[in-house]
Amino acid sequence: MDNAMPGNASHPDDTLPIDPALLQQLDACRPGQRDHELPEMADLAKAFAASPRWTALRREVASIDRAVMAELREVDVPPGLAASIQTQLDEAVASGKSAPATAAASGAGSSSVALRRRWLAGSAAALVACAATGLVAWFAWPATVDLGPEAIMNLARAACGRPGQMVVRTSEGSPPARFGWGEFITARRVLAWRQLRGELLDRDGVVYDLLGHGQERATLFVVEARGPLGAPAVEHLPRRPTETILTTAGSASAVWTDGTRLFVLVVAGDASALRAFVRESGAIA
Amino acid sequence: MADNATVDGRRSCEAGSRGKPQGKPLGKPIGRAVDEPQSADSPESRQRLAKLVADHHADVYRYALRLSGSVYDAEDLTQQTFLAAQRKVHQLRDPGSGRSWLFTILRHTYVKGCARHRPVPAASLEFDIDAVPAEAPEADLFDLTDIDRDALQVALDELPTEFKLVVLMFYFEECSYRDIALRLGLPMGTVMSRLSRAKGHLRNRLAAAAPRREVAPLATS
Repeated sequence: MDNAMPGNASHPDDTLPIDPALLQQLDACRPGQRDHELPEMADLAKAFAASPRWTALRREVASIDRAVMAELREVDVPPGLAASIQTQLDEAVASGKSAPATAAASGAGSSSVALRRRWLAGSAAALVACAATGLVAWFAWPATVDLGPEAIMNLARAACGRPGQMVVRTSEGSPPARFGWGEFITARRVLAWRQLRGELLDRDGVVYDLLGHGQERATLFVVEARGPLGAPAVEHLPRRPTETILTTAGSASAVWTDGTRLFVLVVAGDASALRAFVRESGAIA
Repeated sequence: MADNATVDGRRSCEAGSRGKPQGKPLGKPIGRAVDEPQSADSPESRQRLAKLVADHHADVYRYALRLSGSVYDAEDLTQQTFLAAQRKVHQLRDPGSGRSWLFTILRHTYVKGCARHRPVPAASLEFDIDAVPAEAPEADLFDLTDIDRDALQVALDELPTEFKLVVLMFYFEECSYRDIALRLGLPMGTVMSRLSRAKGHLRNRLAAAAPRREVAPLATS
């Protein structure tokens, strides 16, 4: 492809080759969104401000993106598809193929009649069912990735940008009680919070921006320990925040779980800044 | 076009995840206790699922078609997605995230299907994504009102699965690169690189298929 560029060559930089790193950043920006204002896009924002060429490129890429987005949705849906899906789902329920493993395991949510029926099916049938379920799960279940503490902390840190300054707008109401801080966190106050719907490891939860008892700032993610179908698995995590602390230039992070929730704390500063947010005794906050 | 305009008024990946749930709630409100799962054949689950089918079957099918490139595979994928959703519908606490939840199941179902049926993706053998140069689009590259539909699908089909997933999450789900990285468990740099190369490939293919506009180059390096 020739390097014909949009925009007038009125700026000295306009005659230089396009910086591939900046082009990657430009391609990562969604049309109609302010992605270029994110901290890691600072170079791109500077290029927009300084060069008409980049402003023109931005318009060109956004126009193409919009056109492609619209075209991708131009698909004729087969008539009767919804009815056909519904019929198959009804058949699956009728044949008992859709009972979730969790409900069967816990007994909660199932009627006592249903449980009794399962028992009446007999131990032999149960063994066969277990084996079949295991085989189906093995071959048909979407593959999951088991992420270790370091990978989780890296993902959370990357999402943070600047710890304690992640949440742009506080969600309405109060955070859901099931995504509370847990027993190990102590902070002076919550600066902001918002609900997460799958942004971290495909799990629901809440992210808090916290102010420490000094002027330290932190971001705390609280998400479900167990994710939905196909979400990355997280196993073998520490039970306390101070067991595994990852420090990088300018930030420290910790990950732990209480069995039902997964916590990731990212703090601007070093390990001691992180410890300032941790209640070592684990007393209830 | 104003850069701060919304895209087609549609809910983006991020807006969908951060905004208020749209539409009427499905069954009981959000916030069901974690230890209170519903059986898939409970009336509530069936009602939820029926609403998910009614509201999202078309989008799931469209996404499945773009992923698979075949109307037959797309129907199969759509059916499999809803069957998998049926087994897990009790885990969906927020009806507002139903679309995104179904897309996640669809992606995983597709990837699993690729792994089972095509141990080595054919696209990887025929097409080297690294050969796509990181180039800026030319001015007035092609007529945006006349994108060649077939060329777009062919270009998508040529992409290796890992690139196709990223570019469709960007275009179809309108996910930010941060969201894509988090959802796929990839570093942000990897997502940016894959996204840029995949988009570059689509642009090249679309430009090759479209009648060129008669424009003079404005600047060259």
